[in-house]
Amino acid sequence: MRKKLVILLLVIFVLILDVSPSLASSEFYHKGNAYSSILGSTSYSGSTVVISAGAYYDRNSGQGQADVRVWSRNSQVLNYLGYANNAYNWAEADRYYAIYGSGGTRGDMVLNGTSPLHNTSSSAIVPSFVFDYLNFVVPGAGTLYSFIDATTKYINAQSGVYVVSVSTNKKQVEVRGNDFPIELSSTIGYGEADPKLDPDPYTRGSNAIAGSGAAKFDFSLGSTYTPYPIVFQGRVLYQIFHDMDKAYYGSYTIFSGYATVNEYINGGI
Amino acid sequence: MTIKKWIIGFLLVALFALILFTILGFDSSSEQIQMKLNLNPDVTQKVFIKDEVFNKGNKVRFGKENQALKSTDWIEVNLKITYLEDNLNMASVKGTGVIKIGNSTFPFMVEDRLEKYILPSQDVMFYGPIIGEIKTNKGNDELVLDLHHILGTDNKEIAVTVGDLGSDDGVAGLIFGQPFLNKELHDVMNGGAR
Repeated sequence: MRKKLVILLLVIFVLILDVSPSLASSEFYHKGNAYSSILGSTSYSGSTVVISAGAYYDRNSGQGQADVRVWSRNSQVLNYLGYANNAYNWAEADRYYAIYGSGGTRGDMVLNGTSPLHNTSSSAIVPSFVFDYLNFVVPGAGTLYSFIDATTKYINAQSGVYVVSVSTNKKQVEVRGNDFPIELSSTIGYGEADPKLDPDPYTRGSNAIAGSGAAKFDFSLGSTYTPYPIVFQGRVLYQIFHDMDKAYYGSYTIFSGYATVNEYINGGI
Repeated sequence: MTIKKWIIGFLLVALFALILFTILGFDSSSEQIQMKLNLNPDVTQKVFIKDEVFNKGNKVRFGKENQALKSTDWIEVNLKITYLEDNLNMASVKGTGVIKIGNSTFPFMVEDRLEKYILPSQDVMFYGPIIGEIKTNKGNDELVLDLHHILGTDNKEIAVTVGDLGSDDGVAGLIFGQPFLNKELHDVMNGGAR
């Protein structure tokens, strides 16, 4: 009986080690926030999408994980396109895209997987605000948080999740639904979007952010080469509804630009 | 003797039909949509109201500003819609088409997945974007073809945008056909009232 108990405990111990090596060693580094500005505009300054990016890399194992979060700018897009923001005109974020991969020409990065994981055409629950790592470090500012964040939420992708390779070492997670609750209020700057950087917007009552689009990427580097150039990108496909005559809606879909963070994996910085 | 000949003839025809049916197959999981719709200049101007974005986008890509668009311009699309095995409300869609503006034609291809809606009338409605690529005056560009169609009816509309909001060259925007989305249909799409 005691022998069985010992074996059971050993199995549990091995399983824990196997399942959460990343948790044991992970230290996420904030790699930057970015937005896509409205280019070419002479009358409007704003953004159409905001992202926040983080990553960790274990130099010993050659394994790493990257995290891209995406926010939409529904009201800014609507205003920019010339519509009053009211019950008769509105913008929905119906797809979001998170892209991660090598930012250079070196081909020794392998993207091993993503989360959400599999291509699916059915509805899926997608994690939002996932900060399930132990330490989150902003270079130059030290460790900001050292616990598993309790604000994890989920958004419902009604139409499915698709993971596609954009190129050999770049993957895109496309999450589809209707009217995702991932809008970043106009009162919140792009640099404030990440609660790890600035938790204040998340406690401002009516300005609270409902959620973010999220995707994670597992990667390995074939060599110990660092710094390794990486790129994070995000974009949103908006559906615009415009009540032309109080009877029929004119509607169309339109892409945001790309928000891009170019950074390096330094294996400890 | 005559009756016997008739029976043999009937059996041969039935056998031939069976062979033909087996070879060609009967694919209920896919369907073909072909449509040619004229541009709707009035609705295009009412919907794409921001000149700075859409006049510029249409001029750069199709050579015409909104005011110069005509109802003799058109879009033609050929789409093959195949329902997915794991979700019959979702279909993969692949196709080609042409947009004609003025004297110029702009070929495109699309490939994406599209959601199917069953209306209270049991009619099937497709309402959503299909992503593709189009060759315009600017070169190869990203196309979003927003298909609005209730199968078997005259409710047909296509809203096209080319380019994205991060582009210096604006975004091209065109509406073909007649909008038919009302509040009731929108509620069906969102599974309830907005």
